[in-house]
Amino acid sequence: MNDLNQRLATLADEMADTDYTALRARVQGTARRLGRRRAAAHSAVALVVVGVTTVGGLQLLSPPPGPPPGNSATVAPVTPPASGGPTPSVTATPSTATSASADTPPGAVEHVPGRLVYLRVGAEIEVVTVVNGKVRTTSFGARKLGDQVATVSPDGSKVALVRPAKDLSEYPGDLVIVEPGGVRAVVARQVTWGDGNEPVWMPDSRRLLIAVNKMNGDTSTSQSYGYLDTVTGRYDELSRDPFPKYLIWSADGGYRAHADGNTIVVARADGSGSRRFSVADQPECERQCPYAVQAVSNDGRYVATTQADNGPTRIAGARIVLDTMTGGRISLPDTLGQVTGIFFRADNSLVVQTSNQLHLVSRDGRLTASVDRPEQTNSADLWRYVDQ
Amino acid sequence: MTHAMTGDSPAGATRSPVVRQMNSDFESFFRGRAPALLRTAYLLTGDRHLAEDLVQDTLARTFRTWRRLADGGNPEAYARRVMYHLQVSVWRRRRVVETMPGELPERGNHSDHAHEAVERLALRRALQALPVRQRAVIILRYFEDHSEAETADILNCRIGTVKSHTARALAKLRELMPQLDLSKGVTR
Repeated sequence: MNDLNQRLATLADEMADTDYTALRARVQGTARRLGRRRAAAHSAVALVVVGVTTVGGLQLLSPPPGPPPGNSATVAPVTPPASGGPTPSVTATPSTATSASADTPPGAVEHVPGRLVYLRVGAEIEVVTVVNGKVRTTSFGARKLGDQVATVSPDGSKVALVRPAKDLSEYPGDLVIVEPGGVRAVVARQVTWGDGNEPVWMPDSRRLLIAVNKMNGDTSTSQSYGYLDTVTGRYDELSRDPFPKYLIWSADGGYRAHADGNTIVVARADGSGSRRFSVADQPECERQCPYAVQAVSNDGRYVATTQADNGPTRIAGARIVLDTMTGGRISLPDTLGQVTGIFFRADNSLVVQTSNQLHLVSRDGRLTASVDRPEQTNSADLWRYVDQ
Repeated sequence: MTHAMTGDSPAGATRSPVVRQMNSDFESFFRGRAPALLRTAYLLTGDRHLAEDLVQDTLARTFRTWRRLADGGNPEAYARRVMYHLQVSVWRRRRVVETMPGELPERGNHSDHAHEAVERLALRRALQALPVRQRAVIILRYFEDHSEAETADILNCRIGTVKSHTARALAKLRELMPQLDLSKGVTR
């Protein structure tokens, strides 16, 4: 055994406390879906064979005259790029998974109503919006080495990210706004990130709340946070207090929530009616308290939250729903498996995302519908949900 | 279509003895091999949740072919082959863990525990800095201790490709982690 072998074994030991019961259930669910897809493919092949045989025995299938209606088609971009910039690629495709799954209870929907906004940062940066089941993918150009903490505006029209100005080890970095197609503009410098301090889009999709370090050479002398107007570049300092960690707004912009230690603070958008809710007594606190709030309901009563230990900077997804008025916890159906995201609908029911599906869950934790997650959202993080 | 074909097992349904035995065998396989698969998946993905996703997809596919595998096949070899191929497939290649290369933690005077944590983090980031096929080769050769021929067979490529991937990956790891001792190497 050499040094690398030993180090790999030690690193693999980090994968120690998996919930094998949940994993087993997920395996079973995925096997079922694979079976249904294979069965559907077999049925389609059988129909074609029957059709050909009926029409003329050994007749060969002729190629289709063109793309079938409603299939993938490139359309003109919604937002024209800045002059000289690359042309954004926007593709609108029908969701490949809008039909309700076989597990869907009677009366369930065919797709999740409303708008879901996903962000995928791979070789390129892409925003995938799903509006009432219709999927639209917009390219924001190639991802560049050093791009950090990309976040999509609520309307899906812009992506903000932080990247080092010179070398990759630099911290803090430049705040960059990326338009569809990949046009980039640096709108602020010395912007901090990490540990819930990332730039946060305001509900107007124009301003960002950012934390800025004042530097003297390589040394940070002070920090402040405030609003940055991404159109004019104007920065309005709000406070020199610590940045409100994991700050988020409700879908309608009426409420906001953030973490303050092991306490989640919920307030109206203007800061009034502030209410503090401790998560220190949650069972997860044996390992780490679930203070990383990810969503707040439109009336400010419920928050979806998770532990902040699954990433060094930002986290994506929520696993726990808490009632900040009663301290109660909304139990999600056991059959859901691994939850990767939770958002609130206007009536405080839930949209819950698992690895392959989206689920509608009532306020009392009952599963009301499940649909397959659109394939185009594969490997993308769900950032926003608005049900109207 | 039978439930055995789809993997469905509705409550109250009567299962044949063959299906019951198949499910029981797979259950035993899951209990025995899932932890090891998860460890490898974690090295491949660098992320706990992605590792669980990868093993979930791997074992679901293994279950789908269980009847054939149980009849003289090698389920573990099949599962590992599926896992590596899923990891280097188009969809998974597009996944990016948020930890970015080029930000390895500095070495310094740490306590033993903190030092180990820093070293683990450094290795995880260094692995993520490797292209996915090079990472797979390193894990197959240095973690699972497969020979070059076995690695080539699992990845469905030539031995020469395995050699070149190994050389490039080790050079990159040496660059990112100079403290890594590779003097003993792999002997097979």
